[in-house]
Amino acid sequence: MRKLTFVHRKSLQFDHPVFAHSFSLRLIPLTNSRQIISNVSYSIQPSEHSRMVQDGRGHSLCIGDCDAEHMDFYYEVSGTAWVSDTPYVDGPIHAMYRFPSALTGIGSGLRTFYEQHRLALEAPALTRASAWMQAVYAHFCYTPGATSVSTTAEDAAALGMGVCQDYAHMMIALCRMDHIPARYVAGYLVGEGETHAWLEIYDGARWVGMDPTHNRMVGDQYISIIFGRDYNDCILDKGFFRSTQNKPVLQTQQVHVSVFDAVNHNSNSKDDNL
Amino acid sequence: MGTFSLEKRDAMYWLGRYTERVYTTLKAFYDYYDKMIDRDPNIYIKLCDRLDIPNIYDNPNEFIHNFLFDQSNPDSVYLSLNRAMDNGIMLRNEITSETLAYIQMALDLYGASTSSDVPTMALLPVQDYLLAFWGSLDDNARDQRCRDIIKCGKYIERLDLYYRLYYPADKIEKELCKLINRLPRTGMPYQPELMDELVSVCRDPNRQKGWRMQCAHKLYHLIG
Amino acid sequence: MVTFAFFIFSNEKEKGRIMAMKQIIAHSDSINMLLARYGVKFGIYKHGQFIEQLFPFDPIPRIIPAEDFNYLERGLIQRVNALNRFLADIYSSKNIIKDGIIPEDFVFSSSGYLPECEGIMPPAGIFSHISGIDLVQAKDGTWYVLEDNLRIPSGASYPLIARDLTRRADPQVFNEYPVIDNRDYADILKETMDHVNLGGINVILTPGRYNSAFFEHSYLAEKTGSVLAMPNELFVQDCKLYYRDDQGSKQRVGALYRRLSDEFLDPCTFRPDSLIGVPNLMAAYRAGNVAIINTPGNGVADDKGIYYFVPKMIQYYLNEEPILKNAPTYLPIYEEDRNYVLDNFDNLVIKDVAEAGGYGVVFGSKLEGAEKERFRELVKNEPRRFIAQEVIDFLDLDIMDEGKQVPRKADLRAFVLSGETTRVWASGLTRFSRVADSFIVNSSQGGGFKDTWVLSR
Repeated sequence: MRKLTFVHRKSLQFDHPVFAHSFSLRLIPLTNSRQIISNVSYSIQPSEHSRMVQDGRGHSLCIGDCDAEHMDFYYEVSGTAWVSDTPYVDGPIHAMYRFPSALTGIGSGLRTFYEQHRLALEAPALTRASAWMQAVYAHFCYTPGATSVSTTAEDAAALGMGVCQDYAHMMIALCRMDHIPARYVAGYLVGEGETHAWLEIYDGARWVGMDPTHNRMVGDQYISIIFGRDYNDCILDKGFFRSTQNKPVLQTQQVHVSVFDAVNHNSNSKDDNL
Repeated sequence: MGTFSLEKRDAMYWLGRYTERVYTTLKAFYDYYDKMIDRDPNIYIKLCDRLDIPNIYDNPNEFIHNFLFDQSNPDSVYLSLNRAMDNGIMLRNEITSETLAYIQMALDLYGASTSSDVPTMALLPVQDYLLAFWGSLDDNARDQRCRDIIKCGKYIERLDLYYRLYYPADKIEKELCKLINRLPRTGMPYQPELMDELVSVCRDPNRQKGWRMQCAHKLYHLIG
Repeated sequence: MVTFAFFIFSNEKEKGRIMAMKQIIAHSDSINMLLARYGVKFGIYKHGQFIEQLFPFDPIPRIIPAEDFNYLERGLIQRVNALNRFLADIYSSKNIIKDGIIPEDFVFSSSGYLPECEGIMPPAGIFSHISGIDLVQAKDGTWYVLEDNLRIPSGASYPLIARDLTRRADPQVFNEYPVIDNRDYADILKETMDHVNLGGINVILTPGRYNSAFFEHSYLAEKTGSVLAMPNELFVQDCKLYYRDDQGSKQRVGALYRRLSDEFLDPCTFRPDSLIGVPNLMAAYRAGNVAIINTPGNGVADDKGIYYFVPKMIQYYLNEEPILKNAPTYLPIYEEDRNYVLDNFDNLVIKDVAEAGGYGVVFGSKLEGAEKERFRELVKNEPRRFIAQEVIDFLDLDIMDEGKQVPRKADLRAFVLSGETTRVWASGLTRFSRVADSFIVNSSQGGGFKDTWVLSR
C-alpha cells in the first residue's frame, strides 16, 4: 500500500460581515477496501457546536455553526491515506446508480452519441466502460471555465469542453444508459492542487474506479472522499449564512490541496519491532 | 410569557404604528380638508410640511386623491393601511383571526372607496374598524406582552404625529404617560433617560419654541 | 299504516332539504362576505407577479351519504397505511423491490426519492402524517383514486373555515341535514403533531406570506396553537432544532409541520443555492431530535408512476384486497401498455409524472396533427416520464354561476391523518372547474371550492 499525506485548505472571504452561519463539510475521506484513512486532524474557524455526524450513505460529515459576525471562514483537514494500487472497491450496489440523476439526464445529444459509439451488450461491463472512457476522453477538450458546477452531462457533451466533473458526468450518463451502474466520486489526486472527480462503475461483482479526464484506471494516487449519483451528491462544503446588510454577500475563495508521499519514519522508529 | 421571534416582535410594533398612522392621519386630513373647502384650498401644503413629507401634489384635488388613495405614493394613507396588513398577516396566531379581520375589512373598504366623491364619508368606517381592531386586540390577544408591544407602537406613532401636528401639551403628556407605563413591559430595548427627558420637556412651562419638532426627532431614538 | 306514515315523513324531509338548499344559495352573499372578512385567500403567480385573491367558494356543498363515507373511510385508511409501510420499506430494507412487486426504476429514478433519507426511521414509524388523497366519483357512482399527495397536501383549512362561516350565515340548513361537524380538524392535527413530538413546541413552518397557501399555514397555526415560523426564525444547534425568541433565548422544537418542499428544506443537505430553509435540519432529524411532518422523501410514494402500484402495495404489505379503485392506468414503460396507449391515444389522458397542480396533463383527444405526433414520439422515447389513464366520466356537481345552477367537473381531496391511529377527516376539499367541460379543478388554475358534508346517517 502506498502511504499518502493529504492536506486540504479552503478559505472564504465575504465582502461584508455575515452571521448565523451554518455549515456542513465533508472532511474525512471514506475508508473502504481500497484505502484506509488515519491520523486525521482538522480545524474550522470560526466554529461553534461542530460535530461529526453520518449521512444517509454512511459518509461522515462535520456540521456546525457560527452565530457571531465574521468576514472570513476557513477550514483545513489533513491526514494519512493508505491506498492500494487497484481500481477495485468492494461494496454493495444501490439501485439509484442505475438511473439518470439531475446532472446526468439523457437528451438527444447524448442519445445520438450513445448510438454512434455503443458496443454490443454481450461485451463485459468493464470492456464497454473502457470504451466509453476512451470515447468521452476523445470527445472533450479540457477547458477550465467553459462549464459550471450546474452544467449537465448533456450540455457539457454538446459543448465538447469542460473539466473533470463534466468528463465524469458524461461517462456516468453513457454507462447508465448502457446498463452499467455508475457513481460519481470526488477526491484527491497526487499532483493536483484542487480536488478531483472521477467515477466508479459496477462490473457485476465490485466497483471499479475509472478516470475519464486522464483516460486511465484509478490507482494508488487517488484518494476517494465521497461518492454519489452526481456532483450534487458530492459537494464537499455547504454553508448558509445571513447578511448583516440588506444586499447579497459577495465571496471569494481559495482552495489548496496537496497530496504527496508520506515520509516513511518506520525504519527509524523504536516502536517498529514491538 | 409568550414566545415569539424578533421578526414577530417587529411586526407587532409596526402593526401598532401603521394602524395608528392611518387613524390619526385621517383625523388630521379631515381637519385640513375642512379648511380647504372654503377658506384656504392650499392649506394642504402646510399639512405636508408638518408631516415632513414632500409636497408632490400639483393641486388640492390631486392631493386629496393621491394622498388618500395612491398606493404607489409612499406617504399615502392607503399604503400605510397596506403596511399594517403586511405586518398583521404575520400575526394571525398572536392577535387571532377575529382581530385580524378588522384590518382586512378596513383594507377592503378602503380599496372600494377609491372612486368615492366624498372620501370623508366613505372612509369613516375605516376608522370604526380600526377602533374595533384595538378593542378586539385588548380582548383577544393571546399574550399580554404582544398587546403591550402593539400598543407601544401605537403610542409612539401617535406621539410622533401629535408633536408634528401641534397638539396641545396636555394631550401629548397623556400619551407619554401611557407609553411610560407600558414600555418596560414589552421586553424591547429603549432609553429610559430619553423617556424622562420627553416628559420633562412637555411639563416645562419655559420650554423653547419648536420643542415639539425637537421631541419628535428625539422620539425616533427612543427604541433600539 | 306505518309505511304510509314513513312516506309522509320522508317526503316532508325531502321538501325541507330542498328548501334548505335554496336557503343556502340565497345566503351565499353572506357567506362570501364572511370569507372576505377573514381573508380566506389563495395566492397565485400570474406573469411573475404574486396576486392574492379570494378562493372562489360555491355555496352548494358536496354531500356524501353515511354509507359512501364509511366505504371511503375504510379504503382510505387501508391505502394510507400501505403507503406508510411502503415508505418505511423503501428507506430501509426495500423488500417490495427484492420481491419484484415494484420495478426499481420507478422508485430510484423518481425525483422524490432522497438518498439522504436512507436508514431514517421517523418517530412512531409514521412518514405521511397528513395525506391528501384525490378522488373522483364517476357517473355510475364508483369512486376512483386519482392521486395521492403525501408531501405537503394543502386545502383542509378552506372547508374548515367555510363550514364555520356557513353555520353562521345559514344555521337553519344544519337542522335539516345531519352533517358531521368537521371543525375538529385542528384537534386531530394537533394530536397528530403531539403524537410524534420529541420534546418541545409544535411549529408550522411556512415559506412566507407569498406562498399560495399562506392563509392556511397561519390559520392552522392559530387553530392548533402552534407557532408559525419562517425558516429564519429557526436554527439547528448540536443536532437539535430551536425557535429563536426575541429575547435571545431559544425554545426547543419537538415537531415541525413544514409547508416547505423537500428541496428547500435544508440548504446544507439539499439545494445549496436555496435562499431559504433551515440549515442542518436533516442532521437534527436523523439524530432523532425532531419530528418532521410529513417526512422528507415522501415524494417517492406519491409519484404518478408509483400510483399504478398502490393496489399491489396494499396486497403486499397488508395482505388485503384494495377497497378503493385506481383509475385504469397504463405505464408506457411496459410494451403492452405502450402499445395500448398509442393505439387508444384519443381516449386517454396523459400525465407527466414530474408535474403537479394540474400542469403536464394532456388529453389525447385535444391534441391536433403535428403536436399529437410529437407527443406520441415523446411517449415512445421517454416512456418513464408519462402515465396514461382512461378518461373517467366524472359525476358533475352543480355550482352557482351568475345566478344559475350549472353542472361542473369536481374532485374531492380527502384528508387522512396518521397519528396514534389512522383517521379520515369527515369532510374534505371539493374542488371544481369553473369552466364548462374542463377537467382541471386545481386552485392554481382558477378552480373554486365547495364544502364537503359527510352525513352521519
